[in-house]
Amino acid sequence: MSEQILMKGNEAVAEAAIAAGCRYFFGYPITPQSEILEQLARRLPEVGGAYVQAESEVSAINMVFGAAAAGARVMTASSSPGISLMQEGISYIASAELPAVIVNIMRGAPGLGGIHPSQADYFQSVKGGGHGDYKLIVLAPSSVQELIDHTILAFEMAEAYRTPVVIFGDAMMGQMMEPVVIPDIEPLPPNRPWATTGMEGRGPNIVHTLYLPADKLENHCNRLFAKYSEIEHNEKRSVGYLTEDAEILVVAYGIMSRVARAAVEMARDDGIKVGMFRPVTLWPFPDNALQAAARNARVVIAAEISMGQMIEDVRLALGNRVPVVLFNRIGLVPNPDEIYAAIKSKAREVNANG
Amino acid sequence: MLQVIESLQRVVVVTGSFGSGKSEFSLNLAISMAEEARKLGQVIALADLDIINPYFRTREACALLEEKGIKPIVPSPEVLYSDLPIYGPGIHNLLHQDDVRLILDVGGDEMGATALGSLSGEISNSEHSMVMVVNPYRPFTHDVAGIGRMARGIEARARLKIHALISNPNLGPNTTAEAVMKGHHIVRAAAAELRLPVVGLLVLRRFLKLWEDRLVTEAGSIPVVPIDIHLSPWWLQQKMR
Repeated sequence: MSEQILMKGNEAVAEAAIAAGCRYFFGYPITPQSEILEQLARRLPEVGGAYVQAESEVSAINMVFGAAAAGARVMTASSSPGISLMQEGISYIASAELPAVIVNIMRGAPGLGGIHPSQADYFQSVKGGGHGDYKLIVLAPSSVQELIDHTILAFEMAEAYRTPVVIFGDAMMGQMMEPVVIPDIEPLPPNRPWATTGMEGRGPNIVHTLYLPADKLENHCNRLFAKYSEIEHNEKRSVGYLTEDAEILVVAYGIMSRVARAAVEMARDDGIKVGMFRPVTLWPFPDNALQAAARNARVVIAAEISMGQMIEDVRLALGNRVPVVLFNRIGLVPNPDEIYAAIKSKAREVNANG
Repeated sequence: MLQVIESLQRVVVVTGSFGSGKSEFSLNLAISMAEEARKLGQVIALADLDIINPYFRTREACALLEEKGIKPIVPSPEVLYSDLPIYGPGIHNLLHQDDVRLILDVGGDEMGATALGSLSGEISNSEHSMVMVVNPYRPFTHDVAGIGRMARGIEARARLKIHALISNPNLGPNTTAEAVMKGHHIVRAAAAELRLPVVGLLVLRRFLKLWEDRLVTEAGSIPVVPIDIHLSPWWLQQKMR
């Protein structure tokens, strides 16, 4: 299928997973991502795969753990509270160095929250979430086409680094419809000599996360973090927009970057020197590129659908060189007018200060 | 749109696949009807029967509907933005009021059409038209066979017959005149197979201004209807600069 069609974000994730060669999916339904499950329940048997609806998210993530250990290309998807339930299993999968893709179509929180769009799970996936020292690669697409491209990329990264990869969407991205092309790729079957595929012709492969001797655990963590350094070196991704002369820089990811981009265009039409920086990988956070994008900035606006989470990484990257302020809304995706108003107000301050 | 309205009965049941454009069509239909209705002393009511998908639903346009003098039939405010399988009150009565033109905006696919099952008896007894909106650029209705499967699935669950197709071939902001014509051709072929009329070709107003002559020629006797987008935000409708 290489012609354009109109797809919803959730449908696109499901089709992209199949295009990427994913044949196993374990999950539990939750609004606003249930279409991913529904579509894969229908589609996976057609391509010789299997879909299992687990009895809970705890079961689902441990089925992912088992399938990945056995060499399968596997994915799960959920939304915020369901991803919370998966945290123990995610820590195990990271420790066992297994490739797996986890999609979080974020919804309003904390607690049961609501079914509104949200970006409030940043800390959970970018800073940890489960127990222990591990990292997750976190991708933040901003369109339905990018949901497709990043789903395929996530499987590639997961296998290249033997590590779980998280894809962030939100309730709006899951449901909105955009024209897309599903790339016609022919992914290689999983090549995993370490997987538990049966002992024919070799000794046992063992997948485990238990390191009782202290030195073994320390070595294990050091080895994991050497891998994470390599990922930080290779995989930081970001997109800048009109940053060259920007005195005001808006930093936003996912759906908020679409709003921010429209607001930046409105402010540019008024002659305001404003640009946008969009982290594409949230971990590893593209700090060097952000520093470069902010080189002429006199104020940075971090725009998020949370009480301010990504803003901490923006501040870590920029230090005290430039003030970083928060623009945020909860429970909805704001209109560009609101970010435009914030840009206008900062432009007046910047001009007043000469 | 007036020609489309003339081809429809007092109660209009709008069905289609997920993302076919049912809700945008229902809103445009209601707004056009309301302009005529005032002269005739009719009431226009639009009921959101989407019990499947909690986003981009007609209920998000309540303020617009009220401003246009249209009666929105939606769940109560506390559960308006929920994913509960409920719809607004009063539909049963409205089905039998001769001075009310009622539009039922049904949820997507056969799953969404399930909501009609409990109303099908009463709908059958009222003067009604059931239409299916088709966008052949959506994955499950992209060819004649897919459109046929969708129609049969919806009819089985709704326990009602589809009377006409509404052709809505588009690729959002990437729509071209060629894409509209190619898609419309598929819808017409499906309609011929299903022995149903196509009662309108929907085109985004800003595109129709550009391609009106070509599309009207292509559509022949089928009315070409300008559509305004009310549910999807403008900043998602723009091609990136």
